[in-house]
Amino acid sequence: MTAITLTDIPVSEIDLADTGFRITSPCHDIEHLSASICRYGIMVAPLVLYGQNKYIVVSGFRRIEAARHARLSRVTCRVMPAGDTLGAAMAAVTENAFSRELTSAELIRAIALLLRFMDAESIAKNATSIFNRPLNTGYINTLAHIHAMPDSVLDLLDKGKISIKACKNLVFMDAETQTEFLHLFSLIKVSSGLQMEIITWAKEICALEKISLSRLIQESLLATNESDGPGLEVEGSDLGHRDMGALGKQFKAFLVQRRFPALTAAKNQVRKQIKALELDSRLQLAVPENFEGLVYTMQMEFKTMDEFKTRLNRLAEIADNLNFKSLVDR
Amino acid sequence: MINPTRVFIDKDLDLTPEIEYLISKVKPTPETVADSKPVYDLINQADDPVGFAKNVLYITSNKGALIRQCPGTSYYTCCDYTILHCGTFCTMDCAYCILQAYFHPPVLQYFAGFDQYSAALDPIFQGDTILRIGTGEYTDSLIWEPVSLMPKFLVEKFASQDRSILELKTKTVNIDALLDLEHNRKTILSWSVNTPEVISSQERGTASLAARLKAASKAVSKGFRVAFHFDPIFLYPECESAYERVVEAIFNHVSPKDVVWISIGTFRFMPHLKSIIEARFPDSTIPYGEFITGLDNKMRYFKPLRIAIYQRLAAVFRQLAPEVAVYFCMEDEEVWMKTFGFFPGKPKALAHMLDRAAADRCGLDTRLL
Repeated sequence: MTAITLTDIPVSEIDLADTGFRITSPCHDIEHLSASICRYGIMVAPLVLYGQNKYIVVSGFRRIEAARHARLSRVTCRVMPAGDTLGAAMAAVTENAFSRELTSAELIRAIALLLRFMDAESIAKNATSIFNRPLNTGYINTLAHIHAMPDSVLDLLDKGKISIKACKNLVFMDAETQTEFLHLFSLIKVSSGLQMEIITWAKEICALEKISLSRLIQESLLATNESDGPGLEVEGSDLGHRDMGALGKQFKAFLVQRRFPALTAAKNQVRKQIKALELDSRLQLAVPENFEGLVYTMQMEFKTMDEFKTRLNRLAEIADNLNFKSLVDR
Repeated sequence: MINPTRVFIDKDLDLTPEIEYLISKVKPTPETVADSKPVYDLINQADDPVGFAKNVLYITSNKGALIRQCPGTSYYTCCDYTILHCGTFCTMDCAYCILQAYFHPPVLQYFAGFDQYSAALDPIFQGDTILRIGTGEYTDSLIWEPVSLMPKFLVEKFASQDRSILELKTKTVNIDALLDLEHNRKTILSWSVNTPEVISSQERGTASLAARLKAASKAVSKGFRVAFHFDPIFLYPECESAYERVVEAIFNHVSPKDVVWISIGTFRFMPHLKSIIEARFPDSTIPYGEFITGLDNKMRYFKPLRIAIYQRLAAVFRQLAPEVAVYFCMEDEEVWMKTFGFFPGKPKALAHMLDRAAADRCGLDTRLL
């Protein structure tokens, strides 16, 4: 066990710029914590490591930053002896991991931190006592690969704009493509499932058309939103809409249209034909999924005999409708 | 070409002339195994089990059914083909090959035992139905020709009857040992064909289209009947004219009267084959076609795209070889109707059409039709 002393130290001697042991994301809003510290003090003493005439933060970056913001001159800290970097790394992870579940980005930073001192197998072997959860070697290596991606990946993970699953898909791509995908996900916000679809379709379109991802993005409406320059117009898109969720859906639509042009055109055509039938909401026509099967489905709802007769008459009318015939006799 | 780095043989197998011949043709001394486990374990530990397995030959016997029905699905029309299960896997390496995903793991197995084959085939030869029997479902029929007596045995076996035909389906040109055999037209040598672009980019280690067609011509000159399989067809820019040129090339080499049938089918695959292709053929874009999930849960090209290429090919077949039976492997009524204007919808109707073609071209007993 490392000998830790409780010491009252000047805030000015704590080097907040040294983030070597930091696994949490940079904090942007410390007003509340600062106010709490002013009123009640620091509840749990931050953990620091002494070294080279200054103190390096191991755990408690936000608390010390908030203390500095509250203009405290001294803070009581738990101080680890100089040189115990392995112990500091362990402590940086366990302090967080045993007080709450680590976020994906924190887990990745924690793995990268520990890999400076031990190999993946050792981490896996001791995972439950360090991370409060089991981790296998393969997953640890994957997280290390994600950490090696451009820095923005952690920022996107912190913001929930990219999932670990999506990152795992990107790790084996070249650096330029990784950067482009990360740039893409900085512009939109979509679910994890949609992220996977976007990565898959974009990758496949680029392979088929022998173009770069940056060119594909440039040709999409995202480029229009980024630079207000010309971009490909997607049917039904609202180019003035800057909501990231809506942009994500529009980009997906752009990819689907590009990746499955014939199928998309057929679906659009059928949508128009069904709309032209002017069916009321109690009659629903479904075409064979992906136009592969041969069976169409017409679903009818009714409450009374009168409604039943009315809808039957409507169905009889539809039978002579040219749009309906062309739809079925495809 | 079968050129294994390791050969395993079941300890229970007798050293018959068939096996002695096979062993004499492959270099490594066979390692005796009690069962398949050491072979499976060896292959499974490789980084690329599919690629590795192409260099490991396992000589064994077929412990399951030697004769099987083609595993068609209910929605798409099947030709009711019969499979003679004499081996598994292949030494060639096609990006689209379903065998990469079908076996876990794939093993290059040779199922020895001519007696067992005779016992399975003799009742069929005495039966009252025509069967079209092929060995090319789980392996390439003729990769074995340079090292094994099996193809010769089967050709001569089938030559002695008139109720079934043997189809040896291949992408090789390994036919020399068969040419002078007494085949009695009961063996159809058939080639899976594709465009030169597809062959050069997606088929490692196969014979060129020109070589296959030259071999077909040679086979015909020795009285063999031949067949061709445009399967899988891939959709890519200008593919229509490329496939049309393949049809033209075929009939520049052989006469339609010598062609028993031609099958056509676009690329379709079990979904998990995609990741295997991506890993083993990173430059291949064949899994990135405009696919939808078919009613058999395989990925298929969007139907109008399939129909479009089929219609182009059908037009060329009508022009160059109207009397040859051209059929789809696993397509539905809409595709048949829009391509050929008819649909063999009744049970066994497609089978009957092909049985008739076999009877006409190969001299089968027409009373069984």
